[in-house]
Amino acid sequence: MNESRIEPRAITMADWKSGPDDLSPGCDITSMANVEGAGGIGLYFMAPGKQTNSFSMQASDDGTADEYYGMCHEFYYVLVGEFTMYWGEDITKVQKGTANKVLLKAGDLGYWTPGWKYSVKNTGKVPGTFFWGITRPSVATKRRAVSEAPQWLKARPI
Amino acid sequence: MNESRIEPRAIGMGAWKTGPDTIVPGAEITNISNVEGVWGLGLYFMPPGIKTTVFSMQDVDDGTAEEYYGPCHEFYYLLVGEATMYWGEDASKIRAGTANKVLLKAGDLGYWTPGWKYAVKNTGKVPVTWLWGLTVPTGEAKCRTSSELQWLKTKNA
Repeated sequence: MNESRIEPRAITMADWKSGPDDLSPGCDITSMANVEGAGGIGLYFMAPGKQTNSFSMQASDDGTADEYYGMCHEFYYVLVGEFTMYWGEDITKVQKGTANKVLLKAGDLGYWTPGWKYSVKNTGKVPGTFFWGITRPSVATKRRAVSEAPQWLKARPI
Repeated sequence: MNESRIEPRAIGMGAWKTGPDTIVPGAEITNISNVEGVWGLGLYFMPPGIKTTVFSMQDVDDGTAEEYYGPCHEFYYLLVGEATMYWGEDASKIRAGTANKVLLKAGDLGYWTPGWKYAVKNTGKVPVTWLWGLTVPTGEAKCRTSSELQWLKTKNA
């Protein structure tokens, strides 16, 4: 038997890392766990009208999105509220909300496939919460993150 | 740009596969989606007092568990109710509820690591619901599974 195995466990609220998402004002992010070899999972909380910064899961980083994750798969399982995911190749349209879009209501799963840029907005009337999971990109991927909220998001009226 | 990429989408209840878990009377299982090469995702529903069969996520199949998944990682995110996961190496202790155990309440995440056998019981007073995710097993694991895990069989074919 492999003695390097890890014991199963409950990961409760006291173990989670949680706080404001500094890159997306008005949003809170919780990281629950990293599942070895598969990716991360957690919760996300957004006030009505709030939108995240833009992130790219394309094969290469063209520099137009606020963040570059690489070729990941991501899912959101919506627990409370309604969200709209804007997606496409043109970052201006994604940020403005004129790109393709997918509406998610409580109980829906959103599956965000690699090859696109994304930004999600709470388009409901109540604070929204979703459970997220994101896979790891290939080891060769150079991820890029901004250090603070982008200007287009700071300047946006609610 | 890679034209084989798939468009993002919402997977609403109308697209889910759901029904009784035929090997756990009283329990219902929903398969929501497969995240390519990484996860199966779904929901599980179980009345109070019901317990699943024993499933193994060990490196090798010793034949003592009802199902063998191979060395997978699994999580449960408890949406409603309470559940107790029994775990260890001895399937008889897991069935009897005398093995190691982890209690989960609504809002808790259970992380089920490879290398052990498991069975979960609704130890609360209300029907329990959780969101589950199960990774594709590594290596050459040959699954013995119910229809719940057909996606794993496909991945390993």
